[in-house]
Amino acid sequence: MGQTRLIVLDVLKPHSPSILELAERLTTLPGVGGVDITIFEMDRKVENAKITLQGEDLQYEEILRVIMDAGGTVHSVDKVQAGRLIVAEAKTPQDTGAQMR
Amino acid sequence: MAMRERIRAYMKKISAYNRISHSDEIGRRYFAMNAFDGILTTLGILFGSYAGNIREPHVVFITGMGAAVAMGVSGFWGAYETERAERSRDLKELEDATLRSLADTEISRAGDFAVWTASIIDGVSPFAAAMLVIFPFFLPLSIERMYLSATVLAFLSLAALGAYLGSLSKKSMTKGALKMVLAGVISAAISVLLIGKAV
Repeated sequence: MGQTRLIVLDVLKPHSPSILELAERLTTLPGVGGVDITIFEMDRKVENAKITLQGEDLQYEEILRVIMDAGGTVHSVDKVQAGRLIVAEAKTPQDTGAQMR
Repeated sequence: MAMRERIRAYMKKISAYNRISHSDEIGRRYFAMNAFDGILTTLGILFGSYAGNIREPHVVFITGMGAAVAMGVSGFWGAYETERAERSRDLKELEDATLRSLADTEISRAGDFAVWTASIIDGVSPFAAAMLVIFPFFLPLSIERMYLSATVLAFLSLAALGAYLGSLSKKSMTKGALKMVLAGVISAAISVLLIGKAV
């Protein structure tokens, strides 16, 4: 089975526990090499965070459990990279905005 | 080593609960408020007993202990119900914002922790403060000395509580102590006036 090496999540979470605590907990999970959490929207009681996890063998169920325990909800899984190699996203004509003539 | 690790993990969990629920701040508030209640109530019992010419130490001690137990139970129960209601409302609001149930998450556990901490502090602080003040009635002293030492102990406790609040607010500890002692003096003066008229 291929190993998941990168996951990008869109998460809605309460202000507490903070992203510092959440990041610390995520990095203690087996297979996680590093975490980036960026807040891109702040509300009165909640905040939207983009969580990027990278590692040798990311365990999605475990990651989900930590996020859920902190009161967070995963809105979407925005990006996944798996396998022996990190594959860059391929460019297609649609990405460059090519138009039919 | 395993024990030390377990204690460290437990302390980490408690400090995380504190950060989420602010239970330390609420605990401090409850402690000061209820210890103050305990001291003043017992001071009232002392003045009342003295004015009522009660010369049997066990009567004062039992009356004081009865009040201490009642204040303890009332403090625990009152804080539990109040905090439980407040925390449930906060959790419900947060659930509405996150669009999910937060039962059995770190947030609900932190809320439970805050409810129990507040209740225990609210129950124990007036009980302990009252017991401290009536403690001289348990010692082999003359009844006059018992009343005197209990009153001194009450005012010292008030001063210590005031100094603690002064240090907490990063203001003058002396001023804090004097303010609390003044409350004791006012309470004593009103008691003396009322009891003087009644007797």
